[in-house]
Amino acid sequence: MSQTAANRSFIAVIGDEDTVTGLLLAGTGHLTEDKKKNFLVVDNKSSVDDIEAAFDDFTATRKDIAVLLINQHIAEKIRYKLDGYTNAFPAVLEIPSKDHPYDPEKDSVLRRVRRLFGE
Amino acid sequence: MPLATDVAKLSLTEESKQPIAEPGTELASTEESSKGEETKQEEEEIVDPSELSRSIDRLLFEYCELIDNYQSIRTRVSHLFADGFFNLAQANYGRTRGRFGQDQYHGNMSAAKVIDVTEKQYAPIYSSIDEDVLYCDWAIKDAAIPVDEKAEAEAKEKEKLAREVTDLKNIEEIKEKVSATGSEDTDTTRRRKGIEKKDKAAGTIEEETKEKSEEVKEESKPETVRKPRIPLNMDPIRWFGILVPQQLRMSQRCFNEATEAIAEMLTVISRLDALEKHIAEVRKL
Repeated sequence: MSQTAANRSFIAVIGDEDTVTGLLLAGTGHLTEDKKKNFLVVDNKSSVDDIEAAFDDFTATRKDIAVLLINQHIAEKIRYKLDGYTNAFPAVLEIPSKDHPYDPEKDSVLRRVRRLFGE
Repeated sequence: MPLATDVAKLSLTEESKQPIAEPGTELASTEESSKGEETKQEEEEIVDPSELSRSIDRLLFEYCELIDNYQSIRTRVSHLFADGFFNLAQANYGRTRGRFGQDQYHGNMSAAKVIDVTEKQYAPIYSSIDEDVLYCDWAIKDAAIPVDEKAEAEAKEKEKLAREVTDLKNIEEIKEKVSATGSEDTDTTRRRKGIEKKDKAAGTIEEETKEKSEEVKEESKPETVRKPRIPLNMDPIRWFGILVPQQLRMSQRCFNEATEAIAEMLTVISRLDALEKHIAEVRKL
């Protein structure tokens, strides 16, 4: 087992309130001993900087996150960061939200597939 | 390997200078042994001279199968999320004030579901390289419920006290009964007998109560083992009240399934990654 994957077990979420509520209902929410959340609720007041900071925190600073789930419409706001992200751990996965159904055109996996086939 | 010889025969009829199928392709041929003539033709292609590029084609074929798998899980996840949001909206609609949201999140929540990543390996069926491909298997598992020693000790003490109180009550009741029967007697001899009886009765009844309490002990023990109490901070549905609407529970079920599907999807993505690297290696050859 690679060292990077060891001790990574939490599911982090960056999403709108309903998405976070839903995933917290599924039992993914966690607060560390120093009260750090593993989720960020993004609303109208949230700035791109906030989202970026949370993304960096979950992917680079913290070592206990196994996967980061992010609403696709929020991922669009920090697309350049996602495109530059290549680490296997934590995995970053885009998920649909209430008002924005999943768009396969923006799917990072499928875009990589196109690259493989030389498109 | 009877099929390998079949393939060899077929290839000999076409061209006499065919290379013999290598281990990877043999594996493929055994797997497809029951698929009639079409597969036979495919196997004939495996031993083709331009074998290497063919094997890449086959790896790409496997890759496409994984993409198909990925897309079907994607669709499932999308549906589960949509259902989850719909149920959550319905639960909110029935509410007189506020909505189910971040105001009710537990201030000291602890993850009930965590991810378990294990490294696994598999051999691509159509690979020309005899090498296993490493990938990560993702799974959702329940987090361990922390043992609260204090609370457990308290609960045990309470149980003990409750048991003692019931025992005492039983004894008192019995004594009362016996004294009631005793007071009815008018004759002194009867009374004496009655007292004797009372003592006897009290003695036997005390024994009975002891037995009863022992039975209770035996009954209560397995129950405590069976029900490990989930603490509030690990049981999110309870954050939103005691009597939550059915729709909220349905929404929870959808999101539970969605997280399971996400773990499945991550495994498929990991296999895609691994196969991609493998294809790149084969291409270099």
